Amino acid sequence: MHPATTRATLALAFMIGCSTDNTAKQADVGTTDPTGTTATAESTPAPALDDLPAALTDAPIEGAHNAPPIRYNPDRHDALTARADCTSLVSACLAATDGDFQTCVASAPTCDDPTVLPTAAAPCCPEACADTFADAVSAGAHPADAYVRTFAIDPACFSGWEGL
Amino acid sequence: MSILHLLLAAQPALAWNSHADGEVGPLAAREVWTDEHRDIYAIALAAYGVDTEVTEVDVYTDGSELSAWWAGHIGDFDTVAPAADWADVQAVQTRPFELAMYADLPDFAWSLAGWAGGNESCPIDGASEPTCWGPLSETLVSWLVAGLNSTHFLPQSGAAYGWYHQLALDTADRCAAMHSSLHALSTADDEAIEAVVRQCEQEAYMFEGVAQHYLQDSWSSGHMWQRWGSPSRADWPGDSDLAAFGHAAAVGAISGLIHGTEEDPLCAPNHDVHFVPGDGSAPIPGIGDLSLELLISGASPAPEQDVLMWSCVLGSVDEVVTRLPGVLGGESTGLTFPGDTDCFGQRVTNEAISNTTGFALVDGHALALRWLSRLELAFDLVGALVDLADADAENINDQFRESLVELAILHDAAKYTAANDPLGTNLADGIYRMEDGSEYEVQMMGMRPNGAYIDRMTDGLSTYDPSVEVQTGDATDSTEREAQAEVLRRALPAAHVDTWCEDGLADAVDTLGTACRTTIADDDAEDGVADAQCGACAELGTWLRVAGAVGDDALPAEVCDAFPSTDSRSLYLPDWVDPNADSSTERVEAWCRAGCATILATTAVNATDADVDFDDVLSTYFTEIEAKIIANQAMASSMLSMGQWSAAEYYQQVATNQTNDLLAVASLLGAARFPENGLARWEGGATVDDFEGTLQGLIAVSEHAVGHARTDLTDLPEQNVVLALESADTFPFLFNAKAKPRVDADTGAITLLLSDALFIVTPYLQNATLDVRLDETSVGTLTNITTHSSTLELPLTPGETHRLSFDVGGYGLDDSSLYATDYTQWLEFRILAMDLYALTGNSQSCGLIEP
Repeated sequence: MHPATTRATLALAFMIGCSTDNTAKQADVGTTDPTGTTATAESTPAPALDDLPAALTDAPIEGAHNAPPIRYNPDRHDALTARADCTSLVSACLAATDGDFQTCVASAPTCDDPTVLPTAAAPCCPEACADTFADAVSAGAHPADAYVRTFAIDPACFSGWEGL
Repeated sequence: MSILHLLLAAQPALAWNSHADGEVGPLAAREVWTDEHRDIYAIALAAYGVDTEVTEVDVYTDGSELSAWWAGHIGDFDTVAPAADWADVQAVQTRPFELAMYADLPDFAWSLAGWAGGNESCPIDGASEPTCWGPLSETLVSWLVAGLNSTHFLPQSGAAYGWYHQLALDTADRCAAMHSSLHALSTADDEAIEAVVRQCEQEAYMFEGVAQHYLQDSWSSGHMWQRWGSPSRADWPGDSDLAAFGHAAAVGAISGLIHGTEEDPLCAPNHDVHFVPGDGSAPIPGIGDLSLELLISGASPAPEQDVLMWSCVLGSVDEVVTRLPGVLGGESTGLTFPGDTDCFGQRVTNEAISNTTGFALVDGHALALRWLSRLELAFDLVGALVDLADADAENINDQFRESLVELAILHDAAKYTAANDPLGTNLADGIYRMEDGSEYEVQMMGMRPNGAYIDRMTDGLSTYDPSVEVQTGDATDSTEREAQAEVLRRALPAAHVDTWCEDGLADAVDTLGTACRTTIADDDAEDGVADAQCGACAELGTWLRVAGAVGDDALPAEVCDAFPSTDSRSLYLPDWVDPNADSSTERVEAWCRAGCATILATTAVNATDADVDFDDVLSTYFTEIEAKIIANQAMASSMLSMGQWSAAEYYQQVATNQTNDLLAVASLLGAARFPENGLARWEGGATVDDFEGTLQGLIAVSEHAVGHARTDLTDLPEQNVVLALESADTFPFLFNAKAKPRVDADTGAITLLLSDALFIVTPYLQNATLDVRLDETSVGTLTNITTHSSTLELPLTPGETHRLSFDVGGYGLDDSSLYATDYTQWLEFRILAMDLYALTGNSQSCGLIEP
């Protein structure tokens, strides 16, 4: 089964009252690492922060057009970095699939709350976000619209987002 | 190659680099800017034949000093802002400028009035100078270049251009009207007219320069999108000025990531950067900052952009050139401005926008997302923000990252949606289109795309120059803008001569003239103060209607004759002002410095007084003295030879006593007699202290003579009068007194006061006196070696010549006997005479009076 189809199916099942659980998802779509992240077999890996050019990480970057300088802080680990790491997974997939939003969201490894994972943990997307996306699509939203609404415009599915 | 490129072919390679990376704040206002916008404008002005040479303007300041700590410099420096009141003028500052440099102004100053005021104040309500300007160029960040510079991006740039281009056009119309009125005068002073019209034209081109900045920015692909934010401080959230500034700076930082650098798509030649012209035609390639050299070289990878930009630049300049009289040169080429749609309607494509947000710096959007979420503003490196509270800083950084991540996700997603057509421009206008047809406005930290705030510029932005109507006083505006109008009028007074003539000029000249004369009389005044006051008086006074004693026919009609005025006073010059002086300014400055000075003493000292033939008296007595000396010597020699006197007696009687006595008296009298000895000719006389030059410089001040006496001007400057004859090692004669003209406030009667007079004469004139006479009538007598505290009052009648003379009288050696040694012969001789002349003309019409 295509992962996206699985996700949609799961969402639909949930909506009609069928029971499901993580164990079932793990069995169907992938494996779970010690941190609780569920990786899909076909997910596109997130690019590593270590691949960033040193020029962007080692020293403050002068702001263009007289903007104030900005600085890279690798120790940041909160709802925003979690959201960006999650969407980086989707972004990498979008680039590979030429914009298959459903596939890419569905294929992203999931976890309950990425903000509680260790800083060095592999990126994942909150299960709640995947569900929200799936619900929206199931309700008829275009996948692209559902994606930007869930992950960009109203990212309530990311734990701690409201606190920022 | 186009005609335009042929025109530009001879221009040097230029760099289009929008950085105000030189001095900031007050120090930046002292520079002649040479950045990229200046270069474009200079080319345009040169194409029209407008004189763009570096020139200068004198600005009259209050002489205060500024503390420059917040501009990154240690120590104080003199203000260049015009004095708020003419009475406060204490110094003059010469400010160099070049017309083309004003195209750089928005990167260095808030407004033309801001530059005119030396960038020494912050026009933002509630903001302090440090946040206005930033502390140092290396950490340059300020409301000007980071917080409120949304006006440099479309579509606000179009509105900003519109405001300033209209200012240029309205100013040009004012210059043309001024020029027409002035040349309608029957006896126009061409030099004065040209001077005022020239500065008016300069101001028009200054405003157009500011407009050009925004126009040119609009043609950098890095600016063809709606940067978030408002040019009004009031629109920025924040519990404190600092927090609001931090917020604005954060939005500026994100905008900078989109605007990009030379490596970024929007600003560097890049095959993905296209823009849709204002007419909605097919997208064409665009280049941005750091690429001007390519843009104007004729070899640009974006040739269509090249042509479009220059058609807007030149068409705009043409409109100004066409309206101006042309004192600075300049002739229309017939080019027309393409219109706002064609010059400000362009937007970069969605494809171009999607590749911004710093994505170009990182290989792939996926990694860029992770990088962007871990960025933070380096507040500790921003001098103006180091004091930002930690909580505020953290809050701003959270919002900064939140908005950045949202933006990155949207720009990434947009690439895969049909609604956000890669060749469309909705992203540049801050709109993300959903596939379901709805739209989402992309805000940044709560700030909307800048088009939402476009009305701020026409609502009365305190950071922009006021309208011409406000400048001329024909309309009212906010306190801030009216203050800016005042700064423009004072810094560029010639450009606003019509307004000054209408009201306030006579008062200004009166104030400056009084200050000038008071300072001249003040021995303790600092150097340069009087020159500043007198210079300002002369510059402004030259425009007044001038009339008076030198004869109306001899004076040209002055500038203010051309304009209506609420003040009908004219400047009547005193008689002694040379009507043939080289310029009106020189004539007026003479009045500024001396006022309605009645020249009390104009004639040279003379011993050959026409009325009293003291020369004959002295000649006779001198001959006798000579004879006495000879006889005395002969007698003494005879006594010695006859053995009647010893040698000691001989020397005692002759050498030490009688001969010396006789020689001393002879010296005094001889000096008085013979012009070449000095006393009879002032030029050769011994002078002491400040009594030098002509007598006009000695006793020459009688302010506001009869008919214009003012009670507050009766206490006129006092000068020392010191006359002395130095002969060998003795001072046979010394007269010292203080002279002070006085005008009676009630009657206007002029009195010359001589006080603290001291008279010393050689003891070889016994019981000597000095008789001071006015018109041969004694007005006072001084005895030898006596200081007189009493005042000698010499009443003078305006229009009449009075002869003031000093006659010495005393007993000399009796001539009844060849050998007599008694001082029994009364001698009287004139040591000094001068003619005092109170000018009749001044008494009737001098100074600022109703005709």
